[in-house]
Amino acid sequence: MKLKLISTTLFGFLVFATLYFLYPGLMNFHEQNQLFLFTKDFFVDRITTCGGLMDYVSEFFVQFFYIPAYGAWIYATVLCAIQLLMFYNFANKDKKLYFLSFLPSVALFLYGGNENLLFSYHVTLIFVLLYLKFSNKKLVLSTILLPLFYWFVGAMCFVNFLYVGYHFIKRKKYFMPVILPLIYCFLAICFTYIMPHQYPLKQVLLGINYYRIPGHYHFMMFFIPLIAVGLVLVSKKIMIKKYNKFVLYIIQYTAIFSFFLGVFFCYDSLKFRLINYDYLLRHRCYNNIIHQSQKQQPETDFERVCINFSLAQKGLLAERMFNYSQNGCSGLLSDAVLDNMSCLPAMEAYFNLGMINTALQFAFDSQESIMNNRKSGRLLKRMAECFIVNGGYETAKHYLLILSHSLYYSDWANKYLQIIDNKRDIDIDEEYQTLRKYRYNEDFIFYYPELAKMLGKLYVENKSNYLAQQYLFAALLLNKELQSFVSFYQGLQQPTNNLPKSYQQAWAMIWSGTHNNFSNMPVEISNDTKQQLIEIAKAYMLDNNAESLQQKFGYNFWTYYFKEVQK
Amino acid sequence: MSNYTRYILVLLTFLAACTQMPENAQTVNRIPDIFPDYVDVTIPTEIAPLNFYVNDTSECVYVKIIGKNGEAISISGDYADFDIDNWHNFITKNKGSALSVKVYTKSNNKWREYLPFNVYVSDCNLDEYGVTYRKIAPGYQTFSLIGVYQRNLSNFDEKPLLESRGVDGQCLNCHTPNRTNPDQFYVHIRGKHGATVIRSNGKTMIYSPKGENRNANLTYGSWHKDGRYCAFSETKIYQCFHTGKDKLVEPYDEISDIVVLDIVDNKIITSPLLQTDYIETTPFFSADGTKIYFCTSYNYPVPAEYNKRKYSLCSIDFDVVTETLSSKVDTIIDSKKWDKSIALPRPSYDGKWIVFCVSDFGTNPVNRAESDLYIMDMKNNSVRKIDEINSTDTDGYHNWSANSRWILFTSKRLDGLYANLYFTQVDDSGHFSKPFLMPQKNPRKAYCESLHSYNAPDFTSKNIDINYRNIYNGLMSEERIKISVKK
Repeated sequence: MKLKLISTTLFGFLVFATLYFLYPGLMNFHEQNQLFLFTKDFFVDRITTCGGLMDYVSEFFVQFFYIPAYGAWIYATVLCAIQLLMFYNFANKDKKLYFLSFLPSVALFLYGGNENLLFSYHVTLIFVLLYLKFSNKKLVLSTILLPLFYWFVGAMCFVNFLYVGYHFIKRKKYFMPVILPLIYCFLAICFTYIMPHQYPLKQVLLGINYYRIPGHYHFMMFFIPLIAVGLVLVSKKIMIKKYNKFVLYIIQYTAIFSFFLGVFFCYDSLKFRLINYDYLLRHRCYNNIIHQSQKQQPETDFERVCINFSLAQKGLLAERMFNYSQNGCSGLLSDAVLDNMSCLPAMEAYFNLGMINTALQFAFDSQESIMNNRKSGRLLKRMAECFIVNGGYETAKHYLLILSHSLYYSDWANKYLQIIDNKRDIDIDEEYQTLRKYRYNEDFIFYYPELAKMLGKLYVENKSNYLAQQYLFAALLLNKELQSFVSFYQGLQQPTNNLPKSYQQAWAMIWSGTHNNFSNMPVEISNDTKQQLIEIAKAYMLDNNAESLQQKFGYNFWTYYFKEVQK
Repeated sequence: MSNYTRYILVLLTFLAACTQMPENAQTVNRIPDIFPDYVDVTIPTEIAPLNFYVNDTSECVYVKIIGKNGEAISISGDYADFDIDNWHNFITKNKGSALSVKVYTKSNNKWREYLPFNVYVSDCNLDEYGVTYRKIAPGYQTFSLIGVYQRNLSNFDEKPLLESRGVDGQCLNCHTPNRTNPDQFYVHIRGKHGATVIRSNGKTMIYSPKGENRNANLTYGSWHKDGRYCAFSETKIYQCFHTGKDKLVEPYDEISDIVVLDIVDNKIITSPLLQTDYIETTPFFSADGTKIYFCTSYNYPVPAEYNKRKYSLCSIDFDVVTETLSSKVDTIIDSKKWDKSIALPRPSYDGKWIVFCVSDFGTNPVNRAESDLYIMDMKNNSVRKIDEINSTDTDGYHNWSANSRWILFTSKRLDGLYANLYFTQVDDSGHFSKPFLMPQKNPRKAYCESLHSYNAPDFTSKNIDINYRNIYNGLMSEERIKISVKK
């Protein structure tokens, strides 16, 4: 008993620790791709879809993923429940078989590294296992209730059909195993007619709501419930002879927990780095992003946007941006990408810059790109904020009313509903007040290739927008528009001493292009910068390969510039 | 008193709370502020109950509607939610007369009585079963769920005709029947399995989305009265985005020409006059089928000169016998003179009127807050802005009922972003009644907490029964009827 308790607890703790400490972004990702509402309509909408009850239950739980500690705890509890139910279903309760009961949970945990696997899959597996027990006790009744069960849990109940069929074979009633698959298909066809929404038959047969991308299925999706039922069926027949108990346990649990280490293979490191960055950005943990970015150079524009924005928020963009591998303006502020993830960092940046409409566009398109037609609390809130800043209170109310039915967004939504209804001063929030000042004074069409000009206009219209100032000069440097950099710098009367590192490097490079020495420069450049430029210039004369220069001198504005030129 | 008795009493009190008759009501010297605004509207007898909320802090409302003979119906609850059968019996008896609506509200156990307002029951029938529309999140470049739906106007039943999830996530465009008769309709499907689906004479045909060697997909269209021809624009639509606070999206046509599709020969009829460097779009057949009305503008570059695109209203003759388009285009309203842009000309089916949208520039009124509806009298080409139905926000995407006595249109007047469906009656002199918002079982839920806009609505004369699985299978088969150009 003690060993069982310890191993289940240890397993749960490992799941919790892995998710909470290594992949908190996964919890955030699940939460921001759905919105649970405490309304009758929401319940009715779910319950009228085959398998929708599982959606409802899982979405109820996933709303708590807003706080990753709760999410990791719920996730771990559900996997432990699956493991315990597995053992509960075993005909042979020999504790030497206990380790086998972990297999579906471990497999599911590894499969959970696919961020699009919905939590409803996990919840459904619990109900499927409970139904196995019910079938053991009341075979005929459970067979009669299978259609209802199919409606509530969806296609994963195919294993319950198999299980029931197996028991009928054991009772030498061979008619049922033949007819059960036909009943399953017949029910699927009926359900497509009954459901108020149109789902293709394939989805009803294979599962509507286990995966975020409709119509996509993986081997693992069917393998896990099959192996669960398979283990339950064979558990009676497995006999483990009397080996040394201690050695046996060591082998068994080492196998299980080695399998568990598969997490490092199944949880794609780059993908989860992005997911974690997004989580940190959402919660404004800029220092954490800067800290993490120092461990590894960014490989994608997504990471670059997160890092650059975090640096800018801390006033460090000009000082440190070229410490990282940069990739033009797309790593500063990306253009629209139609998926539910790629635009989110840029959305945060555009919003804080005061480019409210672009933030709204990105929020809207990101939400509409959630493939299983769910809404997002995070994005609805952002859309409401955009309309509040823009003064579109009636439209904002639309989103606020919806959010007022949620758990974690309702306080905020109710506060603003009250403000709007009472026609009180919306500028009560300092952040919105500031953003309203930052907005463009006049309308024009957003044109991404001229991002630097748009940033220039933003800054020129409001010189207190320090974020825009940082982004403007960053965009000019990333675009290698050195003359424009100089013109803007002098035109906007920027300081001539204590320049940030990248500005010094840019100035030194521009100056050295037309002068033999650094005397009479309009800005003050440190001796270190001058010396570094002289060294890099010498190295460039010997070997102008940008890669080798970068290896030798590391990441800085000059190596970036050479690299971009050679592109 | 036992706890159980106490609970039961509390429950009964709660249940009874909103079923009381108003007593000792204090008179309020104004008509109530209700949502939707049904004050002084004119409705057809076929319309579903005008359920409404009272915009105050009341816990309960009591509504009594009194007809011409003193007969009345009443309802109480959180909001006015009328029984459908009682409603229809009542308004049928009161056809052609005014109903007086008395509203009482209760708060803090005190009743208040507002001044009554009128609702007029038209003596002119709508003669339509319901409406079809596309529901889409009003926004930018993508969508999660999009669908074409049918709504029975006599009750609140809505059913999907085609949903994107039923056709592998494809984008669905407007369902367009022939003069509200769904026996003939077309619907475009965009994306990987793109097609133009046309149903005619009980047969569903899946066409290639564009003609052979043509530059763009068939887009905006209109049926010829005989049902053999369909005028289409061949349009490539793009979007750009505003940075200011009041405008969001700016759709524009990169190219657009007009052709006539013959669904018997599967060929398109072209004219060099409709395939110029200009943009020709939104064609619509006249009532007698001898003309095609359309809009045209010089193709100014976007985004640099996006606001210079102002569309004129033109027409071209169409000869059914020779299957040819005329060699002359008539300019009916010149945008240069107006300095405005015209979109979506919709001639009435009795040939008396054309209603169209007017905005500052562009051809897609749904994104233009200043878009208003105008009416042209076909007898003398006189034009009038329909002030009685326009709002300060977007008004457009209108269509006529088959008897040409009612129009529906979408308007964003509620919140500036979400387009909703309004109905209005036109009289013999071309004047319209105050428009009313499409009734819903629970209007607040339907309009204030929905994330969909009503798009491209039209009337439907009867219940549409299409098998989306057949369409789905047809789309997935990749077999398409090819469209060639008629020599």
